[in-house]
Amino acid sequence: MSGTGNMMHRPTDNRSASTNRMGAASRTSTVASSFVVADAGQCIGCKACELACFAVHSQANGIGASVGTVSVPVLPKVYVVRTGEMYVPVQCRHCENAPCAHACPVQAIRQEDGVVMIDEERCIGCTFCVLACPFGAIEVSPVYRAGHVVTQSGLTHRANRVALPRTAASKCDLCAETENGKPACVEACPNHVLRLAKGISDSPPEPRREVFFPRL
Amino acid sequence: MKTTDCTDPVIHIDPTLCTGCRRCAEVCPVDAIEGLPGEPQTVNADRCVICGQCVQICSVYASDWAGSSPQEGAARRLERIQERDMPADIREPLFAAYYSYNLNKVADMMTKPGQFRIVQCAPAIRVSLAEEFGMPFGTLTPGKMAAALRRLGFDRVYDTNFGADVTIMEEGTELIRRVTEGGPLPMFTSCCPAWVRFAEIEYPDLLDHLSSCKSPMQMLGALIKSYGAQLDEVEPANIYSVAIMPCTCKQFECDRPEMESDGYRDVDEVLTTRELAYWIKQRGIDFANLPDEEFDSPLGQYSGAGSIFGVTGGVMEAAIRTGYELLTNEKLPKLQLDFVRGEEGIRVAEVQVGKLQLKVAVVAGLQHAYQLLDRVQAGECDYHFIEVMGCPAGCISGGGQPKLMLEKHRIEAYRARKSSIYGHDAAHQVRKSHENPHIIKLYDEFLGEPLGHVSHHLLHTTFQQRGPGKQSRSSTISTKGDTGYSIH
Ligand code: SF4
Ligand code: SF4
Ligand code: SF4
Ligand code: SF4
Repeated sequence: MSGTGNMMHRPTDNRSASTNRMGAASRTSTVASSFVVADAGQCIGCKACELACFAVHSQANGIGASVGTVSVPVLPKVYVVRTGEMYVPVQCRHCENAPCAHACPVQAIRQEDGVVMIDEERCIGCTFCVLACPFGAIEVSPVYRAGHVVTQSGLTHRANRVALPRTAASKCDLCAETENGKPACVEACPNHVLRLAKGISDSPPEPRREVFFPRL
Repeated sequence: MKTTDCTDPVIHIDPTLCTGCRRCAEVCPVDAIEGLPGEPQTVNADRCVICGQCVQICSVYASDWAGSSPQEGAARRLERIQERDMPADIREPLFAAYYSYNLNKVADMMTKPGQFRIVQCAPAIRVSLAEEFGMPFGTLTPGKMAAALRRLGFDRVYDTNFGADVTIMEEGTELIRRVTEGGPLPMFTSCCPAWVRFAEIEYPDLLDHLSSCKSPMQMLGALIKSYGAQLDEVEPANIYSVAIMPCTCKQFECDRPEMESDGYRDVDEVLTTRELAYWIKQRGIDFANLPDEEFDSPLGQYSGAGSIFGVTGGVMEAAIRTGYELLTNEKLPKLQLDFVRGEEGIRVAEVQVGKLQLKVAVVAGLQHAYQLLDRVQAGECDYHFIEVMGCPAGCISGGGQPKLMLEKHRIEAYRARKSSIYGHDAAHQVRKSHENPHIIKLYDEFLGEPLGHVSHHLLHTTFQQRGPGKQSRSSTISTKGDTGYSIH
């Protein structure tokens, strides 16, 4: 299961904010957010950031420190992409007034303390957020739990009648719930390409008009 | 002069995966990784000493989702697994840099009837294997390891640590002889096959400085098919002898033509720690809940000195424990020799052994060896005994050990494995090789004396030039963290 699984352990009352139907403005906030920035020119494409991201978000699948303990596909929340001669790591910018949250038809995305989070339990895998994100920071991928793919009841492969995997959106959560709260990619990068840019919010930004996205 | 001897290279880089980050080139001690940044790299097999450090560091993996469909991704993965001859049901990610796998070959051989199957395990396996099953770094599991190997079908579970004890007897005696009879000095250890290969490629003119001892693995291999065969009353020809090693270079070592006695290979096949873990998983053995079982006697009974071979400085410490007592006929005042236990690339010390002021050095990581060897070449190095291990923290950091996902865990894991090995030594009743009753018996019943006729035949070897001499580094390369200690 990917890292949003961390949210499984949240007290339920934290969820109530996203159960209301007040629209995205109440779920995204104007708190200036932090996000990981990359000095793209310096990236050597070693994918240590991807591996580290996957490692710290996979405890629910029994994954330890050694590669030998990995029994699920590596699904990171940061993606190193090659553009011509350059590599660049891409991940969520934790947008204020996040477009992904506006696009989500089931209010699975919300902002908490400046971190844009996806509640995997709530996500229906519709990929609207994927389309809305201007950075290509979200992937919709199968959900794994205890080392096995979670299947979606009622969704079967037509030809062989096997249940298909449940999919959910996944993206950088700034390692919000890992032990030291430091983004694992930043720590792992051997070239110091990545850095946590801290949002400073002493003067709250102008309230913004809610962007209207069509809803289902 | 022969330059190409590695017709079947052990270390590979998958050009369809490699992104050319060159982190492997950074850790390679001999500049064997070639290629432009951003382009797939290649391994120069003539220069590679097969230490496997590049395999340990490479973090570029094949994404299961890179294809256009999950089916395509799965098919590509299977292709890669077959290309690499990895067990088909392996679940871990596949990285760009990898080594040749022998597990399929060994698993096939195990089903052949009429064989007496024997396995030996290196000291560094018992402190790292458990990590492959999610246990904390350095968890010590000799008993579970022995139990697992029995369940995998081995008739005898022996221990390379016994071979290490024999090595100390032979190498210690050789050192005493060289010191008293005039060299050549310094004498280098010859336990680490990556180091031996390095010397053969880069410093062939210094090969007579290497101890003529085979490594503990090869020594035990030779004893298994001679002494062991006699005790078990089996034909050496029917013995299938496997070694579990933390090292990617051990298979190369066991394939060396010299490594046989009386027409029998000393060791038939080598598996790495990671391969043993694959095998245990493949057979559905619940490693964490295995009972602790004993190694078989006598070739599985070792001293604390044998078990510290797995860490840098271990061979030196074990050798001093025995050498001191054999030379002086006095008890060594303190068993724990802290001056060789550091983490620096080079450590030097002076030890008063009777009348002799023994000057020793310990090298961990081959990049640190150049400087020292240049001094030996120039005749400026007055040490008596030098231990060299190819890997940064000795065998516990070998290329075949569990691969870690986070770089920050590496140091943590090495420290934990190391302290676990020292703890294992400290818990032993017998902590000196020459006091191991099974070693005493081996010499009484079979070998006669160290460096004797039988030993010479079974336990010693020769080395060969494999390259034109030093080509990779300048002698001015800095060796960070050199420190000198002295005990009197
Ligand atoms: S996923 Fe994309 S749209 Fe949503 S907060 Fe992150 S960067 Fe912004
Ligand atoms: S770890 Fe750093 S250098 Fe490596 S791919 Fe990620 S951002 Fe680039
Ligand atoms: S083999 Fe791995 S570590 Fe070496 S350059 Fe290629 S991707 Fe990087
Ligand atoms: S195995 Fe060792 S010597 Fe060979 S290329 Fe890799 S790091 Fe270099």
